[in-house]
Amino acid sequence: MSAQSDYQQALKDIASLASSMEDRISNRPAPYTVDQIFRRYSGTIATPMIDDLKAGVWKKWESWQLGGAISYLGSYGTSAAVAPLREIEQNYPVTDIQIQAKELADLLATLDVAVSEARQIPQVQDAIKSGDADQMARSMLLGLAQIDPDWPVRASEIQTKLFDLSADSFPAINEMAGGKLSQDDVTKALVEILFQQFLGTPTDSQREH
Amino acid sequence: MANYTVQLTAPVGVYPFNTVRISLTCLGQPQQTKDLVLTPNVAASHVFNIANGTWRLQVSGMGFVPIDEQVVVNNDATDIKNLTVIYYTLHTDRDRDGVLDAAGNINQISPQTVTFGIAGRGAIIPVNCNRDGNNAVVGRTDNQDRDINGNNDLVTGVARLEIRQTIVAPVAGPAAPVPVGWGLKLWLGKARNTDAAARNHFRIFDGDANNSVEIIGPETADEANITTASVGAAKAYGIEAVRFAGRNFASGQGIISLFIIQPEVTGANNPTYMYAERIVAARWIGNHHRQTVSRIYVVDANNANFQAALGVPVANENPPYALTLATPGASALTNVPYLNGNIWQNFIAAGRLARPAVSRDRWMRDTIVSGHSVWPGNGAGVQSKDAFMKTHRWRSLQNWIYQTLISQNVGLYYPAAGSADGINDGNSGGNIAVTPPVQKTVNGATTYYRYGRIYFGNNVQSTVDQSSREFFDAQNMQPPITLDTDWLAVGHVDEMMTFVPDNNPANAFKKWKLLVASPATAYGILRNNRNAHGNAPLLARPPHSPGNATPNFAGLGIGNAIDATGTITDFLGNGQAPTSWQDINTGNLQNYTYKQLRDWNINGVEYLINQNIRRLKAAFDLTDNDVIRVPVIFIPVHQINGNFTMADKISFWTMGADNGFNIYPGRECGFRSGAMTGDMVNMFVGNDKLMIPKPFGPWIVDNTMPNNGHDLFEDDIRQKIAAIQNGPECVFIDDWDDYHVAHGEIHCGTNELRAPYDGQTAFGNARYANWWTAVDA
Repeated sequence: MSAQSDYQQALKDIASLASSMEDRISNRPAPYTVDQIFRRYSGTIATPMIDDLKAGVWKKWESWQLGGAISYLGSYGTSAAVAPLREIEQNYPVTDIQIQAKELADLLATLDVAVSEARQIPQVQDAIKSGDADQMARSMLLGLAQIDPDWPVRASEIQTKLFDLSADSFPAINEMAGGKLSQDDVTKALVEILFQQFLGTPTDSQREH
Repeated sequence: MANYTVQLTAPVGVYPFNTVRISLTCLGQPQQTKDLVLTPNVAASHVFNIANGTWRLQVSGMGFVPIDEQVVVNNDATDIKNLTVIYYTLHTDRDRDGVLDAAGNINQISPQTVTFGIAGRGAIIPVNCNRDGNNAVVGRTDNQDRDINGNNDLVTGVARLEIRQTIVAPVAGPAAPVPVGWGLKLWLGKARNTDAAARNHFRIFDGDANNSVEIIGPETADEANITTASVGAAKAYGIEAVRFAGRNFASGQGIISLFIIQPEVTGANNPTYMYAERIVAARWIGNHHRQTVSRIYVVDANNANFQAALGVPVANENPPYALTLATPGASALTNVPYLNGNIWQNFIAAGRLARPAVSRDRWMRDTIVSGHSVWPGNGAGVQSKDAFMKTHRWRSLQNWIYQTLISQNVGLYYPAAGSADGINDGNSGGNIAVTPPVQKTVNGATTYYRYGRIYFGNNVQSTVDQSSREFFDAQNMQPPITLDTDWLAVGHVDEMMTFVPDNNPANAFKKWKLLVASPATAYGILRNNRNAHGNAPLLARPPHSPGNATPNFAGLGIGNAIDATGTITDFLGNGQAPTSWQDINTGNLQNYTYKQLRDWNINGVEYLINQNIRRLKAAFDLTDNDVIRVPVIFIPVHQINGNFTMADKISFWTMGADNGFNIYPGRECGFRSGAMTGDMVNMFVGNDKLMIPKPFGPWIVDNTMPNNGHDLFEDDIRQKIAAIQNGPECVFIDDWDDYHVAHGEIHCGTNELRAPYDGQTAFGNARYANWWTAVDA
């Protein structure tokens, strides 16, 4: 299946879902269900969708469908989507959609520079060559940390809060455990509890963060 | 030189003018002027030492008919002038007794502020949103055209203001005529800077007759020049409100000013003095279940059995009322008018491409919200009008609403018309309800909500549009309570609660019971009957009962199962449930066990309903004794994408999301849900009957009984309602095929008119007969 045919199939699925709801008390899908249908095809359909938006298809889409498409582009959109998103921001008649389009366009507008800079980092280049998913994810995150000064700040906030929770929990745990646990044990357990989806058996596709 | 004396006498009477200017001019001579302060019937004079010659004598002053004449001065003389006072005043029904009041103070706005309560002031203007005379374009209400629409409109939908002329004759001789140069100007201004121009909100007509036309309003201007000749001794003008308070009109108020122009005093076109009156649009009041039903509506949608079943209890209601069948399937596309600047245009909801196609949209509740509006009238008694609020929903039933429902007796108002608000399922009448009268006591101080409080679901997934919320807020009558209905796939408050009348409590603010859906109660009933009736089936029409002609149980379909029937033992066991939810991410149906369903219902759904009860407890005095828990079991419908956190997990001890069953519904990775058994709280609350969707709960066969048995869920609610002394009667109606499987129930499929609440009787004080005296702000 080509990206275009996948995309067309997604549109058919959405139309079919809407049709099946015609007599229901809710007769249009929620935007997030539209997003879910698009996500069946991962990122492959982003390009034909963006092309379609550039061609002005958004003028014929109702807000529930367009809202779902923009949500999808929140994950898979590229800087190519900025122009149509700006058009939507300025011309689509629904306030919420205008806001949604603006926020995404603002975010995607920063991608060009960030991606090209990160790609210059040797560790990122090595990881891409390796094809190893874990290595790529780590290197690319650290690459973003290197070029985006806000990234380490946000990461530190998460770490600080996690350490605080561990430290605050430790005295009670220490007493219960009779001194058999260290604070590092508690921190490690805390990470496992909070992120068990990613560290444990991958039986569940949902992510917890 | 001569001593020329001008002697002036102001007429006898009480009037707000006392100053004139005398001017003498003559070619080649310096002008002579003198301001005189006059006392009625007391001569006042001034001596001018001027050269002999022909002088122009002018006497002018606010309210005084001017004198302008040539005088020949030869030697000392006294010129005696007896002045006439003529002035114009503006009158509204400021004290709201149906009669126009005396003028306010000159050059002030009366009253200083609009107030309410027993001494409230400020004329109340009706929002003329019904349809008298049928001369407006189809789909439009009386206040959406430029005319007064018939004699009934004059009585019920149009208030009055009046310009009156007062002539105070001179102490001797005839009164002078009104000077030809005098002019009048009516001006309509806004009361608050943040409001849009007042002429978008009120319309003043050129008279108070049938077919009088707009002179100030949306399609003309915010001011109008008026001749003194057209006023004569007095002239009344009709006035109506174009909209209720709300977006761009938060104050709900305006200011009407009458400017009187005496060119000889202040120059051409410049006001000389003014009278001004504050006005306020009548308020919209949402109806609650303590108000008597006067008509019920249901859509004709291939639902003959349901119509027949509903018709039986309706026909036996006390007091009785009629049933009206709505026919959207036979109603042509109808335009929805809205005011765009100063032009009425046809509205297409933002984010929708066209008018909704004609269909048998059966969701009567969701298109409109039952309410009414009251104003003091024009002396023929207080005027009350049923007025539905049109929700920001875009379905074909609105064609019937605009074409047929709008009538002389029924008005309609659409707060979101013309807005950029998006459509959401939360923008539905099923998600907008009103509590009966309630009170809230905090630290010994009690706030009374005599008109109840509006409540609606408005969180992340299910929301009410901004325009409608601003409309509710601006009415300032029934302060809204926000609930969380994200856990429901449809997302309406009527899926989880309703209020039923209870006449017994002495407290006027507790004459109700709150019914809430309760999975824990449902499973409790199952547990209590497991030993005796473990094989009793749920979700099946019993043999030979209405709707089932076979001698066997007829399984009912729900949750992607053609037959979802299960026994009490099944529902309390660990086996595979026949129902499923559709994972939109994959398109696959996802099965689950009865245990997963049970734990999710009891620990997840029940928790969220309790959370909403806590919100109600924070909003008004509500105790657990006021709550009746009604057995309903819910099922997952679809899942919300995203990431969950610890706070979203139902049980910390369960690993992960358990495919959605360990996440509170409505949260990311959790489900949005719908009723599996009939959602009994989603009922129609009538006058002495509750029309309740049949739950199809566990059926106990008993051939000694009518229908050869009984439903334990029906028994439960019937017993609880029976505990209300002289309470309503429970009537169970099978709406499964027509409404339940489409995620709605009887309440969703009906709507009603209700008589205004008799506050005078309910609260024991005449003050509470009308909202403008009942409320303090």
